[in-house]
Amino acid sequence: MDYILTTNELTKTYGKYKAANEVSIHVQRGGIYGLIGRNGAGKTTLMKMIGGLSRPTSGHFEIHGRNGETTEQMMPKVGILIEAPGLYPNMTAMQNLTTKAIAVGIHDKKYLQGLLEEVGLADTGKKKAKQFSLGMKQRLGIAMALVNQPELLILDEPINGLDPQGIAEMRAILHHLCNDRGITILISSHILDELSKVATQYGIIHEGRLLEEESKEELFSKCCERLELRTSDIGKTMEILGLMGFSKMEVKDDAINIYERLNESGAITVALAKANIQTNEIAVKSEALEDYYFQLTGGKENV
Amino acid sequence: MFNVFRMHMYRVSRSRSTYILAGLMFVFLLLTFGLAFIIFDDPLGLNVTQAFMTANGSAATISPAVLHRFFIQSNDSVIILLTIFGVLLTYSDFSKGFVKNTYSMFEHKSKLVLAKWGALVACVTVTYVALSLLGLGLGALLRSFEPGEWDAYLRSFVVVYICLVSMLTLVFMITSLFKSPVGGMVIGLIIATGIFQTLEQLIDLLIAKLSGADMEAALEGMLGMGSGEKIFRISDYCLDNVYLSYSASMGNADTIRTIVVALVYMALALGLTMLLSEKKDVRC
Repeated sequence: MDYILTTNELTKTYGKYKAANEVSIHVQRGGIYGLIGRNGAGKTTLMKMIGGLSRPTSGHFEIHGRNGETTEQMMPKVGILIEAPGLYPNMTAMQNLTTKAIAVGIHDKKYLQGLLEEVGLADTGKKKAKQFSLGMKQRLGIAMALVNQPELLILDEPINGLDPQGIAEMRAILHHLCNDRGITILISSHILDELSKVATQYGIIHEGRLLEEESKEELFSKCCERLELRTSDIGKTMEILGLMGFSKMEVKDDAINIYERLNESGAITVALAKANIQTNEIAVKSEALEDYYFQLTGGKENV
Repeated sequence: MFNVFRMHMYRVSRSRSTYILAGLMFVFLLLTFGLAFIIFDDPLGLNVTQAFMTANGSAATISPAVLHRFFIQSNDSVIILLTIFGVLLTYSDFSKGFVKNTYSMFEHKSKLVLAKWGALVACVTVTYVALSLLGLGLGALLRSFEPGEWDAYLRSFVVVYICLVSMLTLVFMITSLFKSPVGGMVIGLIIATGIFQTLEQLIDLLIAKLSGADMEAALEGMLGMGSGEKIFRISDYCLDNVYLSYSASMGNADTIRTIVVALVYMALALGLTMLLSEKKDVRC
């Protein structure tokens, strides 16, 4: 696999609280890696460490296979938009871009104008950033992150608070950057449905820990299918399923959802019949990404 | 690093507050000139010149060094406005979150601190030179102005400049470390108003008492009356006191002490800011 970014047990602690706990992610070059997690799960902490804004308590990360923290020339290959975009409100879009461009030694106005066109802000003229809508600010934030021609773009909740039009525009920009410019994107969000439309790889993070990391195909195959079982005695059924070695299952309403070994419905039925438990219904059904996330992180009570 | 310095100069040049502060400084300088005219040329017959300078025969004259002290060193508005400028320059990229754009680009954050401090010093230098020249030009319009003693003026120009940069480095440090404009402003006000001078002098008296020195001589030395007894004085090593009490008529030893104290404060403040920037996470 060609990874542009790997983290190795990256940990950040504040006192006794572990905001990120031995997180190891592997971001493939040219893809969009979606970090899924509720607020406070550790997404921003992880991104800040990778973006050079925060020092890891332990662990390290590599960009292009070289230590990302200690290699000065690695950081300019990373563009970040973490939390709100850092803009001077009394400056225009072009002046904000110019400010960062000067810091990185770029003096090409045409290049900056091109960036504004890329994010749909070419015609903002003398309008100051403080007069921009939230969507415009987020897009300008992305343009700022692109100034230094990064190979890896880190975007923390870029669609937060955007209206449907803004979300659609942001999605188009992300697809353009990934497909046309070959930029790898690490994006976090708790809007799972929206993330599922852009990401090609997923990492599910909860309470500072990375619970799962999988490709779009793997995730969709898992979360789209489950074995839904209804019997005359749910309690005993759970015991028997446990004895059969099933572990990824939950009781939801009056049914048991099994998320593994979906082709073993016959064996389950036989085992239940032997225990004098009546099988009322057993069928393979699909579910949303959101349900899978809840199942993985401990249910809706965590939300 | 030079690029980051240029970036700060660019944003300062684009900031409206820069021009507002420059305008205010100009206004205050004109007001100070009005005050100088009333005090030194005495068109109202108030006869208050004696309170500010030693009479030279029957006609009091003002040397360039005295003008510099009057227009720049003892001018509270200069220190306060420079403090406000220093806080704005230091704090604005933290408050707007812009710091995220630059801090993510560099492994060694101390270089960014140094570049920002460099921009602050560059701006202060330009302002200081402009104010000094303007003060000198306005002062030359006074009837009582007497050109001469340029070596004293030059010495005063350099010492006051070093002290001002040192004080603004303290403001820079406080603002950078606490990511708040309040601390820096308070430091500026303390220095401008000399609030702590009284406390420092009380400590000096206590030290003199405890060391069994001749209290009368110690007091005279503290007030600049007579030579005074040579005892250790904490106020001799406090930046606010060395700045406010510096005079071009001081001897070489005191001038060198003033410069050394200012440089030590500057080095410590800048060094600490750079060191902690390497250790601390970026809060924005």
